[in-house]
Amino acid sequence: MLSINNANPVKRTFDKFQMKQITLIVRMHRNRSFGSLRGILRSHLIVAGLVIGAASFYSQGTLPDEKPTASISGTVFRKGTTEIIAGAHLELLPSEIGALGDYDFNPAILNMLKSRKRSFTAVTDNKGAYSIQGLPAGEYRLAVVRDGFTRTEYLQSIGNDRGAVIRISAGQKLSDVSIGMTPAPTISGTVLDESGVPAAYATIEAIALQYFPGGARRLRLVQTANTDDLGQFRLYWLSPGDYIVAVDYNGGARHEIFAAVPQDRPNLPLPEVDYPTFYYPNTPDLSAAQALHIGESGETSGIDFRLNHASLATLRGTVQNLPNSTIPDRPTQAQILLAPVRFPDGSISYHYRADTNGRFQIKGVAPGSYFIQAVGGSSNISLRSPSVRVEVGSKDVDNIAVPLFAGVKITGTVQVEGVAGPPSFDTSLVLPYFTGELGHGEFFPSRVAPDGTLTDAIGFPGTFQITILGLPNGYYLKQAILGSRDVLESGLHIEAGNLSPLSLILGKNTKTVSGTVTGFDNRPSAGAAVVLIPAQEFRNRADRYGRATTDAQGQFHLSGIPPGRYSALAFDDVAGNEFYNPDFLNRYLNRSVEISVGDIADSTANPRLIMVQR
Amino acid sequence: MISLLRVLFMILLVMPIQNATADTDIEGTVLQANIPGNAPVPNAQIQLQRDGSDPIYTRTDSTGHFQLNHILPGQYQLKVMSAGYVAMEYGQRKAGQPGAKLTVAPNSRVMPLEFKLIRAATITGRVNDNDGFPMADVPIQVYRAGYAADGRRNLTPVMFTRTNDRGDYRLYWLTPDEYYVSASPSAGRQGPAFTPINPNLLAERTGYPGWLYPGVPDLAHAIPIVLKAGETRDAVDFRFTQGTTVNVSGTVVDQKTGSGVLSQLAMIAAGDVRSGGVLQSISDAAGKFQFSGVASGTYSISASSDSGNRATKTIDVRDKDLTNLTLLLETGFSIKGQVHLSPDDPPMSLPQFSVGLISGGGTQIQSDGTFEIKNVRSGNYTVYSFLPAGLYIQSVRFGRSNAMTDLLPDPGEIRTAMILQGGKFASMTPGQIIVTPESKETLDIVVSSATGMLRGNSINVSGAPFPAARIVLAPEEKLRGIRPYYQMTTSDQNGTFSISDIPPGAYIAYAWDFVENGAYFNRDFMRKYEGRGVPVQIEPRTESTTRVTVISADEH
Repeated sequence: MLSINNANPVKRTFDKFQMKQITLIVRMHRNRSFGSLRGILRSHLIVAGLVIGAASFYSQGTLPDEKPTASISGTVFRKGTTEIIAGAHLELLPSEIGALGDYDFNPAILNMLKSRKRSFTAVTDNKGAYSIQGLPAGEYRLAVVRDGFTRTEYLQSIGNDRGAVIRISAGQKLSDVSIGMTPAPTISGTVLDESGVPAAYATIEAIALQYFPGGARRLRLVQTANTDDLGQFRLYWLSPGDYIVAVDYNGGARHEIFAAVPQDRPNLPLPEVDYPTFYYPNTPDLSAAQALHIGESGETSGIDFRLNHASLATLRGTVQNLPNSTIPDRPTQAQILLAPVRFPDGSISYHYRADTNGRFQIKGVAPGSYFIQAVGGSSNISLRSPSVRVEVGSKDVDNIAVPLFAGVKITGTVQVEGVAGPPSFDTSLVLPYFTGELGHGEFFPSRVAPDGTLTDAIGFPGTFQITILGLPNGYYLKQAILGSRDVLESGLHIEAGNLSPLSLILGKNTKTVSGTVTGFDNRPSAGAAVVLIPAQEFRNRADRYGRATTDAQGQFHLSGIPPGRYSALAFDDVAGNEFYNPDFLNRYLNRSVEISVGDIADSTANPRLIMVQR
Repeated sequence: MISLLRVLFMILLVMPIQNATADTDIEGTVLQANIPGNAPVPNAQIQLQRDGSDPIYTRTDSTGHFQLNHILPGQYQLKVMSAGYVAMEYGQRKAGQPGAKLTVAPNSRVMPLEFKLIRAATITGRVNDNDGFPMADVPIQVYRAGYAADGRRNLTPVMFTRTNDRGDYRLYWLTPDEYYVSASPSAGRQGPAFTPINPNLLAERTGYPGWLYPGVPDLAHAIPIVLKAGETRDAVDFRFTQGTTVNVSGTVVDQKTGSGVLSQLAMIAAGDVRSGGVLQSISDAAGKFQFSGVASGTYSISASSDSGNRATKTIDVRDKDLTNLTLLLETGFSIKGQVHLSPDDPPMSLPQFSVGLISGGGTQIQSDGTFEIKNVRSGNYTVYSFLPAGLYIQSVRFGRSNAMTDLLPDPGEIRTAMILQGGKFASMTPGQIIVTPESKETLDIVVSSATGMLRGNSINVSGAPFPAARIVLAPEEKLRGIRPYYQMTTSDQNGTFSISDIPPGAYIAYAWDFVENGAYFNRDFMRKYEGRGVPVQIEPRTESTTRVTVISADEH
């Protein structure tokens, strides 16, 4: 029984682990402003519970008896200067933890993986120096965070989301591992309404363009801010990159009863007229939006808007409980999520409530494409609808039917290829999960019992991609057999009712690909982004790509690569994970090094650095 | 102070005049207060809402005039808002207080209304660290001194914001009043709650205290900021020095087996203002845990295992590491129960609602009225329920415990744990039941629809109708201070009011021209008004009537 007294159209601000937590999410205020500090604390606690709850799938590994003695030290400085940076926080991460982009940009997964691995931290002293002692041998990446600067990994370049792997052998003392940081850039501007009056409490979004496995390009919400009473906003401490800036001053949505004016803004009137979402440079048309290129530092100011009204639509519909013996026949007060298709990962969604007869009405919806989804149920049962796509023009949309389904238990086993019985490794560390069309908006984790059976997994009608993380080195998900068919590529299609057991087959003969990247001067190229592109049929699976950043000698070393054919490429810049984009890839594939990773030997690839033309 | 504000917020209250049409028009003018010559507020938003209906909106024209046509008879709330002004409700004597219902009677006319809006106020400031560098993303909360829902004096949060990258914050469109401002760099820093997570911000900023302006730890030393209409108060600044932090470590142990258990842990700093935020940790498989970067203060540390067993302990953190803490996980157990409809009630099927134990877990009842509350730990519990309108808790028994009569609060004691859901307080028992793991009883809750109703009039000392008075129906002495046993409303422009769905019993009705929200839950406050209320007996399925003389806030 938690109470956070904010009931308004809520941008969903974190990832769902379990359906039953959704009721908690809706009470969270959008844009991180809460009615009270108590509210903040409570919501943090909820989320802490979720994240830790998920993380506690894992027991922590026991440390070896011998006290490790390796160390790493260096300095953090302002890039291009000799100025040191004190108070910078360093984190030495096990290299098997990838970058956020490896996990569908789902920070929940990243946090989960981080929580079960030991990482090491340090803070730079007033000489900008750090030192981390007592390290076990291993492969790591080193990241540094300091307020006002862009998070930087060792040998990370702009346009790459990860730095080089640092291999530390037992007892090794690595020194002079230094990182240069650049001040984090800011976007600022002013929003005026159509009368020229400052638009107060408008929501400003910084949106990155991001490619996903399979080639889909999606918008990814990176940061939000609110304008003040002068219409001014600051999107601060962004990472360098290309951003679309959007303004949401949709008072229409605030007409909704459930979506009242924020409680801590009692004197905030609605906008005088309804406004659609505007994109820089002042257009309501997303296709006419121009991405701002934000460089390494400084402030991009004057990102101003002067809004024009539009007639906004009302959406009406009904949530239907399908006849199903497991669904109680009493009405369920379902929660309705409205998510713009431009953020298909659900990183922005508005929440409403259907009445006890299942009817709902959403006012003030700007033209565009949306997904509507309903979730409901009681403490005993989770109900959820598939994502219903709705095209909204200037007219109201009526009779939207949103069917609710009961959760379908996903059963099955995890087995190692050619091995009878359960896997020999600790399965409590393994995280299988199922991701729906809404990306991490539909994220259903499972776990694996010691006997190899899948537990706790509930799916809903729809198609889900199957992923397994946390496998020991050398293992990979090779097949997902449902009935007699491998659904690894097509995805797991769930319909109402029962689902046949799923057999997840792990391959274990992965190999290592290593090599050196050379530049045009024929010298080794440090900090280059190496990408192993899998064969066509696996290009929609992030876990079949290989990613590395070359070290100071231009070398890279990628382990855990499943057998198969790969194209090895090295880029100076892979911003937005553009190598997932087939058009981009086709431009450069003729410069790749083709390799075949076999069952027996490790492979070598020495690609030449490609300077990406933008 | 209060009487000055009252004058500022006084609005013209009007009486309806007979007219021959079924529906009526509501018109009025919105003017700027304190400006000679009736300066209009153009484009002000007028919101008219009948209970349970969608609001209708209009805007004032360039002369500040508005008109809403064809309004059907009923009771309405009318609210006026304009950017930069304080929102005002019809019948409101002070911002933040409830307004009065505007009654549109059949075949009547509502005289033109006049609203005088006052300008809202602004607080700006900057948060720096000890080196003079701006601190970004610091939670800033404005509070007003008021009464909590349980009658205690407290700081009521009013508005929230965060500093930007320059360390600046701007709290705008505040209602002129007396405020306290807090900054808490270590509280609510970005966490997994907030996606997208800004990777360039530190996930935790430990070791900073939470301060009230001007940099003090508690209310006794804080300086209130008194804002006048239209005022901008700048430079409400904070400068923070990072305090020393220590480590807190120990083991989570299962009470039954005595062995360590993998658990998730959280440490929550006590108090709203001096909060260091929430710290999280996970123990290892042997139950060993450690929190690092803990600032001094009092914390509640809690652990829970995968199987739902929990442990809680309050600890004082000073300037030394705390080691060897032991948290004993208590195994939860289930209690079963049944919601019955009172035998005196006409038969009806029970709607779905939730019941539970305050701080002990809750659940939804099944269609046959049965329920099971899981993971309960031993203790004394107040029983609550989110009953649909029209039902009240008649009795609650758990074996020999009677939650209506046992373990009642001592006079003056305040039982804090109110439960709020969607703006509605749960019904709760005045007393408590005793629950132990050995309890084999069922929790029997009897609900009834035999509520009563009260109609009344607020009058002045000479017996004339007093419009827009705040009406409080306070329960008998033993239930004082228990929020759900109070009924509040505001009389309309004719001084009439009605309250329905009242649990039967003895009450005292009070009326004020102005009273702070929640003050009537406070025994010290109410002592001043002994004998000023009117005793009212509410009988089942009966309408009672009363006349209450309005107490003037100016008396004090």
